[in-house]
Amino acid sequence: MSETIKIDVQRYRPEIDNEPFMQSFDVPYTHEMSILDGLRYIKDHLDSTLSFRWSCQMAICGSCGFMINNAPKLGCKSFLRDYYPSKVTVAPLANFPIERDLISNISDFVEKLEEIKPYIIRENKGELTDGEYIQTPAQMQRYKQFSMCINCGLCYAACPQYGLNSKFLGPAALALIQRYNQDNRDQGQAERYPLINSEQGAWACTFVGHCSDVCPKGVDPAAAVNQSKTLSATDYVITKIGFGNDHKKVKGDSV
Amino acid sequence: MSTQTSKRKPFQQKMSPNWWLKNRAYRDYMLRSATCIFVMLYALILLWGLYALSNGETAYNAWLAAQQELIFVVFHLVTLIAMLYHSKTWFMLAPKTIRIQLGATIIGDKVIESAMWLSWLVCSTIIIALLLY
Amino acid sequence: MKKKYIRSNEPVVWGLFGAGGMVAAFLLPVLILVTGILVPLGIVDDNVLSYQRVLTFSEHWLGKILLLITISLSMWHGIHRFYHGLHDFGQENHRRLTFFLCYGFALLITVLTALLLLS
Repeated sequence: MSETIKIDVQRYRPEIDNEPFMQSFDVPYTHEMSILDGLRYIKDHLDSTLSFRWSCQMAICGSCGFMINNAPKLGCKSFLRDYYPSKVTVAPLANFPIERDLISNISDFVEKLEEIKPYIIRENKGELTDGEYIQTPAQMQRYKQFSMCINCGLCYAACPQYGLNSKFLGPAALALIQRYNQDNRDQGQAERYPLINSEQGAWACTFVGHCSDVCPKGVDPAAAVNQSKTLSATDYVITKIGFGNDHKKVKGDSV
Repeated sequence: MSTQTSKRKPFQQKMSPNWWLKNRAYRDYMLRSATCIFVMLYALILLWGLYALSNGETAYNAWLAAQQELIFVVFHLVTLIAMLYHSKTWFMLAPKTIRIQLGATIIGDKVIESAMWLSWLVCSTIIIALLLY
Repeated sequence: MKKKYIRSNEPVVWGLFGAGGMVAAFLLPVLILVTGILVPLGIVDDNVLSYQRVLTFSEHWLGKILLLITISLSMWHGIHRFYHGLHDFGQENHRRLTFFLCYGFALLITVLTALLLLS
């Protein structure tokens, strides 16, 4: 006598449908099952046409982001037992166009990650014989939290400002900027500040803070974005007063 | 085969106008935003009082008397609650806008929040003392 | 293809918003308690806000600064949230006009307060 749980899944087949619709499944339930396990059961046993992304099953690849009962969550990190015996509704991530079924098109998000130059930028490269760039534990602490992002996109699904205006750089991209700007090995602040300083950078954020609520890795992008506001405002004052040139690095930000 | 057109048809999800009713975080955010109405109205009441002050004792006393009207007392009660909610959310959020690192330790948000509440208590006590004595 | 970024002037109003938020958080609750509840309801003595007392306060340079900060910064704080709140409620058109109306109003209140304090 096995227990079952109802999982309502949002379907959308672009070649047939004009708009998404809900499809209900009864899935055998055990205490250990994640939402992702439920979806995989549906695909393996009930409807093989159901499409969704997943990979690591351990909240590190960032693939399985869904709206679970209207909340952005990772499928592998959410468990049926927290909803049972009520039904679970699974839909694709909000604020992104839907490709098919539970698959959102997150290209905009990926493009923004690329746009912020997510790599160490050096003014002076140095020789291999100089050895590695030294970083103390204290220096790593400055950016470590922001380096934990797994690019799952939950924060973009949670952010109403991104929903209202997709030109907004968004929580993860801005957190990633902070990750590099606070890294003592990086010398590229001047290239990233214009992104923060723009209307679509930190200033499109109104500190709703829901991005940090939903982040599965504790990155706290809201803190990153709002620290960026303080840094951006400081940069604004310094530049307008005339101490720095526009695009020059702000004193105190490196090392 | 190579002339086959794509069957892709991405479906744009639109945000509904009442998006802010959809979950607790959004509703709390709107509530926090709404406190701005009370801030501004109270500032205007103070400005009105200042204006009355500049017009002499009679005018000022009229302003003072007006504060006793039921509508004003109710307004001030609601505004007080709104401002306390503002203080609570402000002290929760303000620590996130700065990062104080001592050595390898980052000062926790809760520590800064507590420091702000302590300052608030000291500040309010001083003001009450100055006003009442 | 190089993308052009334009520096936003938002830091100006955000700074005023932040300062106003601090004023509102630290000063307003106790002020509202006194001027709006304790005195009108007679819980404390009438002369706490007597004409003479308040006049003396407003004639002192420190009193003027405190009154200006309290009234003006609270307005800048509130209007900033209001302006962005309109956007949250879906306003997309006439944003520039709204910007000038909103922050212009805050500026007006600041000027009026300053004029009263300087006279």
